[in-house]
Amino acid sequence: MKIQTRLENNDQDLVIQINGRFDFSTHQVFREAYEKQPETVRRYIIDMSETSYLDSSALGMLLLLRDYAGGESAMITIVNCNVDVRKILTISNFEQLFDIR
Amino acid sequence: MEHELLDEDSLNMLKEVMAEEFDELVELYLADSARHISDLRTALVSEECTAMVRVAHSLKGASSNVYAVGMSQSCLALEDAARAMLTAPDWELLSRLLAEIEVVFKQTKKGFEAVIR
Amino acid sequence: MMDKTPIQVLIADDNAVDRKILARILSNQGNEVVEATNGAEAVSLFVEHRPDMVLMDIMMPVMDGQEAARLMKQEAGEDFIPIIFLTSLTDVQGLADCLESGGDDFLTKPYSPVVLQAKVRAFYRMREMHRTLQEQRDTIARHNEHLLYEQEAAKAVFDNVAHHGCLSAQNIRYMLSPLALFNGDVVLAARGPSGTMQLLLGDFTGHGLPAAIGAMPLAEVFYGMTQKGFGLSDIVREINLKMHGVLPVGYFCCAVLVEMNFDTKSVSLWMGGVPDCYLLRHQGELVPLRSKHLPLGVLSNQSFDGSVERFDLSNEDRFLLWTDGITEVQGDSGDMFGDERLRHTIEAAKTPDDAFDAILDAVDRFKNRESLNGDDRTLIEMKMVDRDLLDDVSVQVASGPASGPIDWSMNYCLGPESLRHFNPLPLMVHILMEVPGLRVISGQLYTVMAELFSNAFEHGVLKISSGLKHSSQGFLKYYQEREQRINALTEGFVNISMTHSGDGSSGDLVIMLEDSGKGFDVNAHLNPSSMAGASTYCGRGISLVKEICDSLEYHNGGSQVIARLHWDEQEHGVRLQDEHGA
Repeated sequence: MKIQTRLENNDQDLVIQINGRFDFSTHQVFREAYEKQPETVRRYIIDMSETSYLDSSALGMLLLLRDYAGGESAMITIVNCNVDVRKILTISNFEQLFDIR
Repeated sequence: MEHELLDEDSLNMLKEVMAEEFDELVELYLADSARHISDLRTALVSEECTAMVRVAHSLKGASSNVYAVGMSQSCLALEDAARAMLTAPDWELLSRLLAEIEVVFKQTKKGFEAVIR
Repeated sequence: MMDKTPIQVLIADDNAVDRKILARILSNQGNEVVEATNGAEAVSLFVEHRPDMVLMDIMMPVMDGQEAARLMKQEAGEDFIPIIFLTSLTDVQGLADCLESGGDDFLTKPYSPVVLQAKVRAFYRMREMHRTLQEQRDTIARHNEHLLYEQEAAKAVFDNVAHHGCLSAQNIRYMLSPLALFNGDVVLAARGPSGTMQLLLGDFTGHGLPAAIGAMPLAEVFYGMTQKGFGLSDIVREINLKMHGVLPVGYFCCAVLVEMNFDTKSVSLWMGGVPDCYLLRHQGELVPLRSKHLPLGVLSNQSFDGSVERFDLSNEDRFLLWTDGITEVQGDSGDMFGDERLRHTIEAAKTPDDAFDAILDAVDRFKNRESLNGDDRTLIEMKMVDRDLLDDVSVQVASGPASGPIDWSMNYCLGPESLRHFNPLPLMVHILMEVPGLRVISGQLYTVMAELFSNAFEHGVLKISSGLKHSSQGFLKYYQEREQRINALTEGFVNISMTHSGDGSSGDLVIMLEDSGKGFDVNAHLNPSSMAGASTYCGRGISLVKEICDSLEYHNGGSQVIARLHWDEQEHGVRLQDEHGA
């Protein structure tokens, strides 16, 4: 499955795991993943441990999530990036917008 | 012997399919077959091997469709023999095989007449 | 529903018995039957009736089944009309030959009604599927054509807005794919009124129309502001603001902007979201350049960081810039060209001059033959040269209403807060452009204002010694010092006042600048040939001003300067009344 989600920490954290290529084809599924969640969700954790690749439309999707989650006040952490994914996030300076580990 | 020449169970199924056209079909077969056999005779006499193959093949097909198994078998024999010796026909053999067909036909005809009565 | 849909079947068989049975089976199942007794008759009936299906004997007189099948398939063209051969062959090869010759299936004797019905239904479904596919294909083809047509139009509009500017300048080499716009790539270049050159290389997310549309306001801002003399930091901030407002969330533009000053030999650079590029110095040193900012359009104006990096360049030092189109070119084994290969290619080039072609060559050889976006590469080389090598900055007659204010005066005083963040030059020049007679010399007026203001601000208010401009470390040190002092600025002012009088066909302009400083060595300043390093830029600046103005006076020890200029319509040879066809 392209995207797997789970709730943790008393439904306050939403973990979204993206498998394979995070690109334009993931658009719809990714959006559905975070839009249909309980209101108790405050924090978003994007797990990239199984993500092989990220393109600019994926960056766009992250921005959409950030906007949805409150913009400046959004709490989004991106974890377990492989070298390639990390590189793309660094080039775009996305660590200025997201907490990347 | 007449009964071995016809597959009666299948023929009954065909009767259901053809319904009121069944008798007409049988008569058409019998008339057509007589003509085909006559054509075979002519081809044998004029030594036209290819024609024999073609006619035997056609007669074989029609026979199998009306479940006249004896006919389709003897036609197959003639067809195969004639096809195998196109370059060097053994007219003796072919003549014998044709005679066989004629005998089988006579019997088959009787068998059909019993069915449509 | 499908099972009961009656179809029309063509039966071709020279045997009356076979035909009769088949026809009955089919009509029992509710279908319509057309009969032919030989191949030729079958073909003409096929053409006449266009049946939904054909049942054909192989051995027939006049024309056999295989030949008839071939002709029928030809006649059917794009449509799918299944042909089922009737056969009593039982050997596998014979059956295979049937299908080879154009048949879609076969039916063996004796005919089974159950088997025949199953085949009829199956082929009916196949036909329906085929028809649906055809319709969908045609719809898609139509839409596609439409899209292409619209894109052509969009491109035409874009080309009118985003003309290449000065991309053909002597110090620039570029490679742009013909489909660059629709891959989201934008390249713009323009000269500022004081002779600087600004270049923007942008990569919008996505392709097609969204990318093209975003590029238009971007180009307008870039060209408009460059022409007015705005600096890189101001321009990139304004572009970000525009993009942030125009692009939907999730869309952005990765970009690199370069401002080159051929007089001071210094360069400002802003990079946001683009992969590593390089500064290749004339002796071969390769300096990596990294994006320090987020792409354009992501941040709001408050959060946006327009800070630039500064470099000192020598002639033949060059920037090599690209977007991820180059690094992501796919090779035969599916891997990407990548940063490593790019760096090696540049390092391996015989001379810095060869690097540009070496890169294009390497990419060409690497790319997959079948790669669809093999032409999706954008590569720019921009080098530092002597100003004389470039065309003169073309006199841009600023447009405006035919009539404007003739006798007026104004005063603009900037305190420390303003001085730290605001560049008043474009605004001041804009005010002067309201006078139609001054428009012809907009470039010169900019030069005058820039020189006078920079002296007032940097020497007067910031108190930077002008000797720093001549230091062996060049302008880098100067700019560093300037940054520090600006950040620490808490008091001071620069006052700009301008007066104009005239009669419409000639006029007198007086520009006066006053600063809070204590003044400086006016004589040395006015006669730079007496200073060491007179061939440097600062020598040029003041002599230009003296050339342009009718007079230049310093008062109060240098903290006040008055420049006077007289213009005459006849002298400049421009008939202003005709500017707008009056």
